[in-house]
Amino acid sequence: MRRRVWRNFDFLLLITTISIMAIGIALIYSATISTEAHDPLLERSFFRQILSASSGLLLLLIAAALNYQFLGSIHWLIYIAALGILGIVLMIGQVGFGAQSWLTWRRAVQPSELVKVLLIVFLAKYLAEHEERIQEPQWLLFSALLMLPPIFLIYRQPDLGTAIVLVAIWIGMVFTAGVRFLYLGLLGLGTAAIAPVIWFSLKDYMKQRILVFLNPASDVSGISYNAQQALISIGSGGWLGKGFLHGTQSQLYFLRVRHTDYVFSVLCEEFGFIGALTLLALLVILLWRILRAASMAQDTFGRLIACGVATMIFFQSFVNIAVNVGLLPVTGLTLPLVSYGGSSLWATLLGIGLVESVAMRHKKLEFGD
Amino acid sequence: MHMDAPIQGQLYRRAFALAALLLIVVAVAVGRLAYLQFHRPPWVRPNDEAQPITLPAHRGNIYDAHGYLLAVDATVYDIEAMSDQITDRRKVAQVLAPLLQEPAEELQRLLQSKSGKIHLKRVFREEVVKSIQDLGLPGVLVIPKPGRVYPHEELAASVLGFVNDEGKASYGVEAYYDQFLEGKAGSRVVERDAMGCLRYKVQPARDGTDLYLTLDRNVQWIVEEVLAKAVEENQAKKGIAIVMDPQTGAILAMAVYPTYDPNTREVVDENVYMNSAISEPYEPGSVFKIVTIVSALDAGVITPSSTYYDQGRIVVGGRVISNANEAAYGQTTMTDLLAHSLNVGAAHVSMKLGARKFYDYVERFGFGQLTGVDLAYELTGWVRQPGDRDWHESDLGTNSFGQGLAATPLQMLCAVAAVANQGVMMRPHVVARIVDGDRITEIPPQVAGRVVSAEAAAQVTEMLVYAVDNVLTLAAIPGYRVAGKSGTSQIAMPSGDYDPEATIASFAGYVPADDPRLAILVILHRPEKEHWGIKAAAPAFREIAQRLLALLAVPPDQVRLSMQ
Repeated sequence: MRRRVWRNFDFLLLITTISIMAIGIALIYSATISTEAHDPLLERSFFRQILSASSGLLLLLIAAALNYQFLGSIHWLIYIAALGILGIVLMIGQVGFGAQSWLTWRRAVQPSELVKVLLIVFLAKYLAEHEERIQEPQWLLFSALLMLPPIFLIYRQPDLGTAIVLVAIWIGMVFTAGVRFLYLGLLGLGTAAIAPVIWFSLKDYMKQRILVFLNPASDVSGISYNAQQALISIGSGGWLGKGFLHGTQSQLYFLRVRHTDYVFSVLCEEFGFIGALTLLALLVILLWRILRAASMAQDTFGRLIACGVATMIFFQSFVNIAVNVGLLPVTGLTLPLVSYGGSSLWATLLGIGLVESVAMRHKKLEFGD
Repeated sequence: MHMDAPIQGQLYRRAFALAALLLIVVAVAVGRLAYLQFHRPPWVRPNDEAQPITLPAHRGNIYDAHGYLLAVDATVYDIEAMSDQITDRRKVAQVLAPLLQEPAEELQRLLQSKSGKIHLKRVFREEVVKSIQDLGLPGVLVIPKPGRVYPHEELAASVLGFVNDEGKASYGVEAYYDQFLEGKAGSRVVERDAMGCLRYKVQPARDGTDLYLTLDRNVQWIVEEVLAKAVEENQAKKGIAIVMDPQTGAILAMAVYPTYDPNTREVVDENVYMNSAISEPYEPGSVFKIVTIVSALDAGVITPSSTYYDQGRIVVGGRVISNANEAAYGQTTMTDLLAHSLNVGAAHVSMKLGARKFYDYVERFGFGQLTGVDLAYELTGWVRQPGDRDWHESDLGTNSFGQGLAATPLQMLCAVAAVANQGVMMRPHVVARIVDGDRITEIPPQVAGRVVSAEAAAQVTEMLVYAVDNVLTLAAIPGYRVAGKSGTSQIAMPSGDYDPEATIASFAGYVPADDPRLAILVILHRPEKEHWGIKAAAPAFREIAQRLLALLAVPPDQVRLSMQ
């Protein structure tokens, strides 16, 4: 049985994942070379990304080997663990990059990344359990209520970006689970109704970002500096780009946080439109393989896990890309698998590992048994 | 574990709907990327930060001897008007007139002259700029620019030169010391290091050095005032005056009139920019007799009391030379020759000296060569020498009283100053010290060479004092012994003949005669009212000398000698 399980391992998904990560490592190398060229190898971002990617791939294989059904049996435990982690962050988390989300544990770890995957698993199981009655509005409401505490804790860190990702994951999963469009519509109206309340609860910097996005001319304090430099980078890359390591915007410090939030702009500058299309194509292949796993899943739980992971990866990817190309205000969301950051990489690879686990145990196998 | 078929089907559809939604988002991103290749949002300006840029250096300041600013880098403001945006031109002109110190009618005429942007005036004072901005006149623009400001405006313009709007230094100290003043511009270039990454290489700008001149702004002001008055009163075309310390070669003042404001550089004739004191050779005329006589004394061919018989005319190389007033003076001493400025006598002396020795002395006095003054565009003038193709024997005669050769005013004054300084010629200079941050380089007085013996110089000084006391009395100053000599030279026309109408009137001298502090030369080109040096130039010489003696607190001879 073990052998047969591995035969269904989706190698294309793995290869696509590795390809995207390879692009990311190259871009991180380019984006940080002018600042880190003379640092020891272990301190250099690209090398640390390679280490994270390697360990993350191991994590992926372990998750794939693990039968996801086991996770379904402990989903309440997972939920409590997620809340516990966020609670600990709130209590002892250190302040870094304006947010409290980094736990000091040898190297800084960003627990909210892991929490996203944990909540996908929990929500998938919860929705799958109540699949029959998902058409009833109260179940939709219950699932929303269960998601609120973690979302609120993350928002309080403050990490608005990740909080929004969780909302998106929830919408994506309840949508896939089959909630009635009417309820989703009502939910949309309700959100619109409380929009002013949300607006006033936003932190000042969040409001500023949104205002500057809506009216770039109102930017007197240079908040949109990064956004503008990103647009210049993308525009100056042209169709074929300036060549690897030749991007003046990214090499000469104009583009800040260029190995994290604005790595996509580095790609556009150095590899041009074609380079950007290549990455988007790889992301589409990734999407295809994950949704393929969803369509083949033996049960709703597996299907919802795959859809949740797909939503997580793609919502984040496109929000990040939209910020880079100036379609959305600055959020601070990174580009999964590409941006620098060990926690994000691990979380994403863990998610893909779960998708592999789902794919490996698809229903044809069941018939074969 | 198995699901109902309809639910199963719905899940399937929903997953596809999700995929479709995400694909639409991808399409939007691709579309936006393609759009960005062709368009840039208007608020995003491309930065050419990979292009090398130069970091301009701050140009050094120029100060006078006492540290008063003569030239400084500062922000200047061009007041401009968009004529189309101004509705009431009359009112705007009237409001601006007192601030710009221009007549309202003139401004109104400017405002009506054309459409579009009109340059009204360049303003240097911040308070004026502020008042203009406070008025908030629509259509009136204040445009700041980096520029060179000369706070004393026309003062010493011919010495300072100027820096134009393009940053090019022209004339005077600005041009001569341009390399010191301009400093070295820095640069920022992008280069690739050994690791292959791009980085900036920044070479910071090195600011220019400051210059302190030997010029004293008060001395300069007096000289310019007196010179301007002399030019106007005598209806002359041009005036030149130089004041030098004969013992050091330091130039205390150097003026040319008419002059210009180096801030605006608005002139009718660009020749006004030229510093005539060093760039316009003239035939020095009788002032040159000082050189002839002192040379002959030094050579020992005459003494102050030796005599010659003046017939009123003398033939040199086939050419007849006569005295200026056509008179014959009979038996005459050398002292009276100089005092009455007799051309016949001068020719007699130069012939007695002989051409070889005469031109030897002329060369020693620096004629036909650069004085080496630290100002741009100095000319050598010219002296025809025996052996030159166009030299004629008669030149020995005419040269003896300063015709048929050309000298710059500064050359002439240096020669006179050498006599004043006991026969030792000093190199003229206008910069006293160069200050580069903490490094101060003093420019010490430089001896150009001994030209005649101290005895010969002292004898000529006595002869020149005698001349001022008895003949050139317009130059005399009560309480001080003044040594001086007037000159009235003819002006050669392009044809080679002399202009019968016009003269150059000049007066050179030094005071106090036995311990000279000031050597002064005043030249007036083409004076209409008085043609003679003694009449036209001597009064200006006297006024300059008298006022400077007071300003510099030089005690009268009696007081000074009694203190020793």
